[in-house]
Amino acid sequence: MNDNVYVLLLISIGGVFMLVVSFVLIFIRNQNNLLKKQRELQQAQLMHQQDLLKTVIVSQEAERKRIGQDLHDDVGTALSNMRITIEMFNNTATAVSEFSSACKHQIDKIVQDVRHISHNLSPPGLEMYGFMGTLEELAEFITATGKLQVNITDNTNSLTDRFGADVSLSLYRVFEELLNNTIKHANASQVNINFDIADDYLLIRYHDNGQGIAAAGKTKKGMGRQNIESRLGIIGAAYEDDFPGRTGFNMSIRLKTDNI
Amino acid sequence: MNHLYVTVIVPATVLIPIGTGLIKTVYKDQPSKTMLLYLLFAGITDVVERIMGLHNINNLPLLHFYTIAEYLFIMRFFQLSIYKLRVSWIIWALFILFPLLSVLDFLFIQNIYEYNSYSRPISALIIIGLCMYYFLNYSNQENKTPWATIPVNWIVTGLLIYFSSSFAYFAFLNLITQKASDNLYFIFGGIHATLVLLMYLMVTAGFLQVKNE
Repeated sequence: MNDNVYVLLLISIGGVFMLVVSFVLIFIRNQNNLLKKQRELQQAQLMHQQDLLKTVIVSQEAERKRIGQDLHDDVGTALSNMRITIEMFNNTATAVSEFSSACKHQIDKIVQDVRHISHNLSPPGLEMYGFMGTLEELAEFITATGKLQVNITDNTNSLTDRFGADVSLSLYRVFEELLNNTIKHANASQVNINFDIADDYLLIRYHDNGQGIAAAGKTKKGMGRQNIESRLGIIGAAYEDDFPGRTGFNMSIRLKTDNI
Repeated sequence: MNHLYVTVIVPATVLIPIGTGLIKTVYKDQPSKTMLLYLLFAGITDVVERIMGLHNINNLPLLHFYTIAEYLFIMRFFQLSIYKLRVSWIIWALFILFPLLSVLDFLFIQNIYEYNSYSRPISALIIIGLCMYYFLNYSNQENKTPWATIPVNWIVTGLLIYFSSSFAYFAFLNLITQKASDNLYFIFGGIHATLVLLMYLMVTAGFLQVKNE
């Protein structure tokens, strides 16, 4: 054996040195990449939060504008008409009867308009009939128009009747938005809404037999979808609406039963 | 020239991290303070070794004690740097076992007037293990600042490069001294000195990142 032990020692020192330096450099590179990705993710989350906040503000403004318009166009007009009726009142026996009838009619209209506005602001059925009762009422109302058949199946053993006020209102608004989208964009004839319990979760599945998101050209998140996401986020629910291979529009909502 | 590089220039470079540490007041940070004390101790030992060498006194017994002290300083540094090690019984066991082993080595196994080619590589192995454990621990954490801005990262890298690259040198030191030519002896000495220099520079880089807020 002619190997020189000192040369081997030199090679060993050089080899270990290179190995360690390479290890450290790769480690640093890896850590920096990880940090970069974390920052990108945080940035994306921040942007998403800002989008949601913007949507909430825009929605609030739109709602205020709508309430303002309703008050102006319906209540305001009816009150103006009533004022004219009072001004034109002619105190004769026959006129009193007509005047009384006209006033009653206008007051009824004002009451109806105010009720309509207040119902839009907060569905009164939620307190009176609970979440499921109010949703069924909405489903019946839509089905009665003949445009869409809405079927609701509740397999939760009355869990849906125990929803808190915030969960009820948020889910009701989500279904209002979903049904509105189906009517406006999906070209569907039927909607199925199923409520089930899977482990510790309430599982809600929404399905319409329309053309789906891609065909409706709604792949980008519009304000309605962001509203849905925002409302579900408030009650701590997770959702999924991308199911490749399935027909129509599908959304699956998961809510921990502890959060109900 | 090589002799001057090994015996004077490189040992003198210990003043770079010490000076940086004092200017940056790194002694307010516990791990950095331990490292600063270690460097001060290494610097003083180098001076004493040189003086003994100049007076033709065998300074190798000093190396045996230096190895133990160096090991204890570095262990303390790791104990303060890795949170999990602060309460671990393993670190306390290592604190006691190695010095005991080292004393047994120079009392019963190796001559105190020769290089401690058994205990020094063992100390290097333990330190390499702790360096790797530090990196493992670091990679499991959610780090919010870049790698290069954390002082301990630089110091541990310096220790890892020095002790792993010098490991074989420590183990074969007696063989090199007894069998190799003077020329080869100084080549190995030069390589070792360069690795020491690299460690000092890495520690300096670490001290530059210390923030005393």
